[in-house]
Amino acid sequence: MRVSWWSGAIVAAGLATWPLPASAGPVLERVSLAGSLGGQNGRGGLETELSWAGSPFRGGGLVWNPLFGTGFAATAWGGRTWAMEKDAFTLLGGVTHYPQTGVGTCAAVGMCPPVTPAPLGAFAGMAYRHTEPYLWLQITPQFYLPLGGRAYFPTWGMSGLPWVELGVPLGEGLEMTLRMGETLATLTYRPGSRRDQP
Amino acid sequence: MRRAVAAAILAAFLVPTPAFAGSLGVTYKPLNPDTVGVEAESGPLLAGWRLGALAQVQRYELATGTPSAGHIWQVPPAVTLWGRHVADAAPAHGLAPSHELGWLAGVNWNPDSAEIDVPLADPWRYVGPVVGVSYTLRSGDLWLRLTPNATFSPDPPYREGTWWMKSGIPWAEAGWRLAPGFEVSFRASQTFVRAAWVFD
Repeated sequence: MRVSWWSGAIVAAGLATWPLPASAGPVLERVSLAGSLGGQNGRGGLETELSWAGSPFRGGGLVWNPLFGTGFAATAWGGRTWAMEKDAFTLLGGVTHYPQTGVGTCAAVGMCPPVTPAPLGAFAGMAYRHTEPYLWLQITPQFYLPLGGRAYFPTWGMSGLPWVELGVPLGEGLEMTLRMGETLATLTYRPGSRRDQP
Repeated sequence: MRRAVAAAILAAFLVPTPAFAGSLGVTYKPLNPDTVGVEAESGPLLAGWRLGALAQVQRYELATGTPSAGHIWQVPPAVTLWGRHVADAAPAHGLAPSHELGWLAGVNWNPDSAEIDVPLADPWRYVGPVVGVSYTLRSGDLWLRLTPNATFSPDPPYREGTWWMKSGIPWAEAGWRLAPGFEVSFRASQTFVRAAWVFD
C-alpha cells in the first residue's frame, strides 16, 4: 500500500493535537488585509489565523503577490503557544510556495520571467509577543529551507510571516499593524477582541 | 574591586539621570550593505525640545572578479544633526496611552554611495536640510514613533532618488523598554535595529 508523505503529515498533525477537549473547535483569531506600496515592491495579500479552543495550538494561511507577474505566493503554518501574563511564545513551522523572478540575465529588475517550477520550501521559527493595553510587538525569527521546484537557497525569511510586527488596536475588533516583512502594513479584524476593546 | 567598578559603571547606564532626558544608542542593519551607527538625542528633562545626532557607515560587499572585490567601508560616515520639539498631545492617565506630537528640523550630510571609492570633490554637494514631523504613541513598555521626513538638496542630481529616506531618521520605529534604562527598537530605515541607554 502506498502512503504519500502528505497523508503521513496529516496523521502526524492529528496525533500532535490529540487529545483535544470535548468542547474544542476551531476559532477564527483574525483576518488581515496586508500590503505595501511602491513600484516593483508593491504587494498585497490576505491572511487568516485560527486557533483550537481549549488547546494551545494555532495555525494560519496567507497568500500574497510577491512581484507583479509572478503569480501568488502562499504559506501555511502551525504552531504551539505558551502564554504568560503579557508575553507569549510560539514555536512554529510551515511550508511556503514562493514564485521568483530570474535574476542576473534580464535587462532590468521587474522584467525577468518567473522561474519554473516555482520554489517550494519549509520554514521553522519562533514568535515572541509582548502585549500592552494599546500596543503589541511580535518578533518572529525564522529560517527557510528549499524543498522542491526550482529551489531557492536556504535563507532567513521567505515565509511571508514578518520578522517584526507592531500592532495598534483601533477598537471594535479592528487593528492596524506595521511590519518588516514581505508586506509592510495590515488592517486586521479580530472577532474575539471586539468586546475587549476600551 | 573590579566587580564594584563594573557594577558602578552598569548602574550609571541603568539609573536615570535627573537633569537631562534622552538616549544614547548603537544601530545596525544586516545584509549588503551592512550599516552600523551611533545615535544620541538629549535635552533638558522638563523642556520640550531635544538635540540629536546620528552617524552611520555602510560596508559594501563588492562582486568577486572585479578589481576592488571584497568589502569596502563608506568613508567618511553619513551624519545627520537635528532638533526635535515635542509636546504631549494627550497626557497619560492610568493605562491610557500617551501621545506626543512634534516636528524636527536639521541638516544631513550623506556622501553618495555610488561615489564612495573616489575622492569627494565637492563635499558640500551632499549637504541638505531635513524637515519632518514626529508622532509618538506609548503604551506600557512599548512605543511607536512615526517620523516622516525629507532631505532636500540644492544639487539636482543628488536631490533625486531616496530623498525621503536619505537622512537615516526612521519613518517608522517600534520600541520596547526592556529595563528602566535600556530599550531596543526596530526601524524602517537604513538603521534597522537600535539598542540604547535611555534616561528620562
